[in-house]
Amino acid sequence: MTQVGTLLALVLEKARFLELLEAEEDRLKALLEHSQDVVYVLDREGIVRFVSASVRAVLGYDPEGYKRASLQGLEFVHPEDRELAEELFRELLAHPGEVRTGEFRVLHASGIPIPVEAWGRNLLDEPRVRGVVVNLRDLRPRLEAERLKGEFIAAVSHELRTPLAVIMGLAELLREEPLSEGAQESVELILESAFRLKTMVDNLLDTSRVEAGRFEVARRPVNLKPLLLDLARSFQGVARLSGVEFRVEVAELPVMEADPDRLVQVVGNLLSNAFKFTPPGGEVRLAAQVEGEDLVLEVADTGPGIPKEELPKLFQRYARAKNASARGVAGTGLGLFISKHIVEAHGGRIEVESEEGKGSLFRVILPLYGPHPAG
Amino acid sequence: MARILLVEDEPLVAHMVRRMLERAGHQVDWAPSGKTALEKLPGAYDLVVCDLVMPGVSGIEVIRRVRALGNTPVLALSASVSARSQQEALEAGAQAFLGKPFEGQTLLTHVERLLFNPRDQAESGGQGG
Repeated sequence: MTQVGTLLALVLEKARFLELLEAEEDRLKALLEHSQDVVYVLDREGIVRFVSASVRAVLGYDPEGYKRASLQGLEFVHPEDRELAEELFRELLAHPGEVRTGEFRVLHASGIPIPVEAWGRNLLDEPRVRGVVVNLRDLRPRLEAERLKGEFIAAVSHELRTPLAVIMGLAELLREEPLSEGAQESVELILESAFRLKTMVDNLLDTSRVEAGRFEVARRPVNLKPLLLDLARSFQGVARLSGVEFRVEVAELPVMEADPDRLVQVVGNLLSNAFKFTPPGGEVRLAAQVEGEDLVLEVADTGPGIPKEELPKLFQRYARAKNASARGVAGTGLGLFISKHIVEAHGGRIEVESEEGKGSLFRVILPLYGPHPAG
Repeated sequence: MARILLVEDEPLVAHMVRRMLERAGHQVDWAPSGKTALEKLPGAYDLVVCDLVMPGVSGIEVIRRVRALGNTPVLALSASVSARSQQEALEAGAQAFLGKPFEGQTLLTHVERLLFNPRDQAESGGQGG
């Protein structure tokens, strides 16, 4: 009797356990169904073994009909992006344990292309999954947010420009007045600070243009020499006040097709960085000369230098040298990012050499007679 | 000395540009809106310095009117420094474009060039646009 009782109790327990298990599975399914993401699990051959029910809401497909379809056909990817997606999946299937990400457009069941971010992890060797997990996320909300951010930055920088024009213009007029030495210096510093603010506003606006794919340079025939000398002059006050020796070596330059405002912005960014990082007693050097068929611009400093491991990401957006924030040096991390874009838009390149404790040398190489032929 | 019509809706910017031009010895007539500019335009000006973005009658419309009336050179000013707004101004008939903020010397260089060589500038401006 007791034995039957125990058996009955066990059966009941098992039934309750199964019920719990089912409830848990339902819960997971419901969670995935209401997710904004579509989750796929593929097998070794790239066949879909699982797809979350959210595929109906996000992409308009029936999850049942979707299963066992091969992702390798990639019919659901926009034709123009298939090569890209194929490469991503091939990479993913070939590398157990690794993560691959990419962005492409998929086709909604109605035919509308939807930009997505794909995140995939190869878990074929993970016994609990034995599959490749692919997560697709609709990028439209993010793209919309980025568009709004870009519009906001454009509006703000436009609004900043007008008062900045007044500050710079009136300070310039004031400079012409008979002033005491102290007042004269104050006016110079107002001008320099306004110039720095202008460069920052330019960098900010340009970054939002690069992000929106609308960055452009307006080239015209120009001799950069007087512009570079003007620019150098605007750094004399900073040099004097920070006790840094400023050497300017600008050779005779031929007229070239370039966007003068943009190139001045590049050299302004480099000089502004150089002065920021160079301690009193140090030296900043600006040089410009013709080498073969190139114009070579150099900005060198005797600052702390850039650690080797930071050099590769130096020109990335928002990248700032680690010791910059530690040393309390201000900056938006946009100057070098945008400078690289400007130089490349002129068919040129920007290089950096740096040794910790010795200083840094930035070199801008611009083809004088149009971009070099490919290769 | 030249007679210059300055079209600028921001009083502070207008004040600054006016002082820069007057210091260089020019006589400046200020129109605080595009509408006022259209009223003043039949007057004899040697140069028009015109902001692009203004409420009501825009700078582009003012530039077109200047072109319709004759050969007076136009220098366009704008805080919107995109290549598109530059091109728009040049296509409407401006000979030069200056983005805000600018240096006084740059403003005066443009002004002198347009006053002494309006025809040359018009040609190069046309090609540029």
